[in-house]
Amino acid sequence: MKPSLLLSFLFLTGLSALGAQPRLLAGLTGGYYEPTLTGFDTNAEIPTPKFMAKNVLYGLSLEGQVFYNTRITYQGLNSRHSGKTVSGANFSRTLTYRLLSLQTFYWPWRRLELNFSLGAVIGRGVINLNTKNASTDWDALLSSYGNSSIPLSSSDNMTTWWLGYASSIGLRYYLRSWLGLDLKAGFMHNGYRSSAWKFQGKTVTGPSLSLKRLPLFSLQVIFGW
Amino acid sequence: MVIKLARFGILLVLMVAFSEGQSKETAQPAKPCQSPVLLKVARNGLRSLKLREVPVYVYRGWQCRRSGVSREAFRKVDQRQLETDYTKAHRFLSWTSTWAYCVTSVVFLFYLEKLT
Repeated sequence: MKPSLLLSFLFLTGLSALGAQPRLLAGLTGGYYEPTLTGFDTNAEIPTPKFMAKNVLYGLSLEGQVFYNTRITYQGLNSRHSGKTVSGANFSRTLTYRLLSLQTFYWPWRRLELNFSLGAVIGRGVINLNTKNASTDWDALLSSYGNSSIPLSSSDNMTTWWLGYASSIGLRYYLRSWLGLDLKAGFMHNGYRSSAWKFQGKTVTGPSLSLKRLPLFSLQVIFGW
Repeated sequence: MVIKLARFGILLVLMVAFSEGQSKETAQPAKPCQSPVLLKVARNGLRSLKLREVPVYVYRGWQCRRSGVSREAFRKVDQRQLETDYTKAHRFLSWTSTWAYCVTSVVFLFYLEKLT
């Protein structure tokens, strides 16, 4: 089972077990952070990441109220960078931060909520290259039918994952009882190691990234019942 | 993954809406504002709805507004719900304040260290 599916399953099962009718909320998130992506910024083989690819995060969130002032939240934040390498192959890089937090909250004024989150980060990095190469075996077979050579497309991923933790304080304003805007300030710390990448089942060295102790700001649009 | 989740969510909502619509269709009253879901919300508030009743409520609410009932009635339901939410959450209960203090300390110390 894929980790994302497993996490969603555990999240929903946990909610079902903890409360018969928990209040559920879903959100769209846009975030800002400042990582040092040395392995991508200074790599001449791939396009240099711009602001949107480097500093902006986007994703979805799910929240379930399990106690009077408590929610369990799951937030998936993504950073994606894509383009063509010097040799013309299609390149893409995705960093995904999955935040599983316990959040407590209270309403100091009507419509206005303060919330406090602390939880774990499960991070995942994927580098994908889609290349076009000639295959001598295919060429031989194709030419036996009178065809010329056709380049073959092949795609593969380099992947890694890591653990970390994140914390934030949020200010949420409810425009309606089912619609709110949530502004959060906090940080996350990721235990990323460049030596823990996997490619074709083998451990390889990946890009050098500094993902430790990063300030994190986000704006969420929350829908909920 | 995000696209897959969004597709799954949309599919789930559509399935629930269709199945709920079919099961209740025969029992629907002639007046859309007399729908049991709308009456339930009027009596017990928006949070009394189960997740699968939400699409039905949205649809019946839309039908009800089309039949001439002003938006004000729905705004009042919304206001009342916000008031109930405020009453329930305007103070911390049990250990939740301890958690909030811990988080505040952690975030405050992080930024203090960053800025100094």
